[in-house]
Amino acid sequence: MVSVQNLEKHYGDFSLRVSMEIPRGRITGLVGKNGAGKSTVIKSVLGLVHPDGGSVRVFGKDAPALSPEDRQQIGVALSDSGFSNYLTPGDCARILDKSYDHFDKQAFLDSCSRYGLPVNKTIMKFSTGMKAKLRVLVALSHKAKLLIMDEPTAGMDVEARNEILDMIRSYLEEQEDCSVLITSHIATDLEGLCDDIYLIDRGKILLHEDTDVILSDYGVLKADEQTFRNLDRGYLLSTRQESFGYRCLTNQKQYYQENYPGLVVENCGIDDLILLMSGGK
Amino acid sequence: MSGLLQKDYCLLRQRSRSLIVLACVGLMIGFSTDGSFVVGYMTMMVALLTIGTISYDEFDNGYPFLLTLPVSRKLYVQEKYLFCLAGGAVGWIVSLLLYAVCSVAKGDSLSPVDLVQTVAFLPVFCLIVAVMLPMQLKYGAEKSRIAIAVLGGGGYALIFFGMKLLPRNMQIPASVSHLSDFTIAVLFLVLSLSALAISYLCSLRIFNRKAF
Repeated sequence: MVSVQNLEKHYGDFSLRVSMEIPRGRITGLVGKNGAGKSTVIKSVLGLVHPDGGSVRVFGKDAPALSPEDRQQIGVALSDSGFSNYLTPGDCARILDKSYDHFDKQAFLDSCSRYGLPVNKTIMKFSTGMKAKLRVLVALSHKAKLLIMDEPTAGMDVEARNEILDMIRSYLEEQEDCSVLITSHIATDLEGLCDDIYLIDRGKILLHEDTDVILSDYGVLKADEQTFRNLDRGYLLSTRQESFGYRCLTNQKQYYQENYPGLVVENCGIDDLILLMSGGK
Repeated sequence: MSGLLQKDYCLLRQRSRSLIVLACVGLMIGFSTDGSFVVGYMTMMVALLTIGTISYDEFDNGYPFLLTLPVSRKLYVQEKYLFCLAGGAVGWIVSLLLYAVCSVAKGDSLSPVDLVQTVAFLPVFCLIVAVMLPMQLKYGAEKSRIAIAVLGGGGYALIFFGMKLLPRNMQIPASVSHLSDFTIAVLFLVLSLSALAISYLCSLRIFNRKAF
């Protein structure tokens, strides 16, 4: 559904070089630290920035050439951009009703009430969490086949984050063949949602793996100087020296559990992945 | 495009207080002055309000989201011209009615010359839209004010020094001075429509090149 081939974008010292695929019905997470290039990828997929090289194809078409009809099929929630703060959710409903063929106005207004968004209050009076909920509700309001969400949970407390993730999960249960590209620097949000994860750092994809594989096969090894010296480093993806010794990332957790009984082997979360892959040696 | 028009209508409705104040000022001007000044004043003010919707789109980084709606960049630019021109036309009609009501209330009669004068505001309005829209799209709400001030100052300086350079007793060529009012009106209309067409092409080029 989305194909990014050798995408290049340069901003001063920052260079982005990325290739990735999002097949139909797949939920793909793009994780990385702030400034890693996640938003640039999202904006390139949406045709909001002009690539310096490579291609971005959505529904088989070049992203900048997407027609308004193609855009009917895309639901978007951006972290830093939405409807004008001077509008109300009621205004948004009227605008969306005129914009999308499959927009369900009543369902949208009902959802606003359910999530505590006053229909006649201007968005500028909303809290950060309320604004984020509205952005996600807008993205989910018109039966889109492709959801693109840039940091939908940024700056929110745990409860609000869970509410937003539940909204997305409910939508995906209804729209089974929907593809999703979602970014977050709060990786735990994505562990229970995504089928696969791309890890981006300094404009480059460092890793692409199924979430299940990350959670089952990847591990974090904690070794002191002596243990590290005797360790088989053939399956280590990244190593980081810390005060107690070494912290290592492996994609063969079981191998180390079986062959190094005294070694501390912990399960790997996506946060560990980001920390060790983008900060390790 | 109807979604964008609805958005701009909603944004304009948020400024309903400004519109009410504008109507009240218009009424005061209509009753206190002779002539069709009120029509020009109100048409221009409505034009500025409609052009101002671009500031709302730009404010709080609104463009990236707007361009993910089912619209193309071309459609966005077209909608802006349509909304501004339609807004100006509505402003002109309302102010014309206001002018007529004030004139009747004061016991004045509307002469054909007065009505022709009110029509003359339309090309001027088109020229304002033609200059301001590409400026707003290129430089944004804040910088475009400076750009327009520089452009206005430059234009004034050009005319001022141009007049200085012309001979004092220069005569207007007979071919120009003999033009009928109707011909001048048509020429002015053609000029403003040409300016609008050039302005639209410039805006399209500016907006297509923008990255968000």
